[in-house]
Amino acid sequence: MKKKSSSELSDKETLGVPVQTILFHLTGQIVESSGSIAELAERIVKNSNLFQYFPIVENLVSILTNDIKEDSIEIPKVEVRWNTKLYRIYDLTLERIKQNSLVPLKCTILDLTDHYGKLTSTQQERNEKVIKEQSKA
Amino acid sequence: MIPKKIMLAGNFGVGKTSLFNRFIHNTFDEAYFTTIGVKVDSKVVETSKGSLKIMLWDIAGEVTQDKVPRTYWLGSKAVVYVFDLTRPITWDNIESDLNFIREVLPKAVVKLVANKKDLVKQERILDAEEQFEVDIVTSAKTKENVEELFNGLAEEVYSI
Repeated sequence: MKKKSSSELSDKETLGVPVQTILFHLTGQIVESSGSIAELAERIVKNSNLFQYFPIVENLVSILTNDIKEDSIEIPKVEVRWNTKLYRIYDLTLERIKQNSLVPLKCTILDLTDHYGKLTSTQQERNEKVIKEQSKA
Repeated sequence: MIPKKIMLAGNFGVGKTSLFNRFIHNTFDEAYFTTIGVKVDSKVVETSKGSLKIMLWDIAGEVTQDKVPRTYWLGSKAVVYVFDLTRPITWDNIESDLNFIREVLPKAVVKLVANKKDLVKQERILDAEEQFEVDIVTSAKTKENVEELFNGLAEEVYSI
């Protein structure tokens, strides 16, 4: 069973999905952050460093700058465990805003934990069963 | 410090997340927890040329690697392809998967890793080594060869 990533979802399907938009410098320093993802709203504030919370973004900035010609990258299903109780799955898009802009990068984060949640339990059960059978063989 | 991306790829349940947790956090959990998408974390390692920040991508296991989202491969300097010594079925697609990875990332360093050494007898390891050019045999549980794998890779990708 394949679950659609955010770019494949219709407007109706993404309606109500918590989203956070963050403008930041190449160093990870946040200039502005707004949105409705609670765990991000309390951590990701002006002048804090986005890389501290999302190491993947530091890597994506490097890839966007050095490795590819495109102006944006979408990475679906980024898993983040904030603590023992708080686990989230985000779709993340990193965009170059435009050359000579004072703030060069924008990161858009969609919290699709609920959307992917059923897939997680189904895949866990299926994989456990298959691994058990294959280990016996 | 420029981060260098290294990906863990392979079938599900072969121990990619265990290798990730052993290398990044020095932890090991006997329980199996599926990976749905990707987990990313970093670790700074010392090489003979200087310090290097490894960005390790632990992706969801797929029976064949062409099912991995294309954007996950972007910018990878190395791929660690893991198979499970206890489940020979995870050996079935090694050659086609490695060919696919080399096609997608022609400049990347690719390592073939036989994991779960602690659970098999020497004959099984020899069997795998006879069939494939295994780069290293590891055990995430006992830590055997895990540091060696990633430190060796750090040396190789430093200048890429």
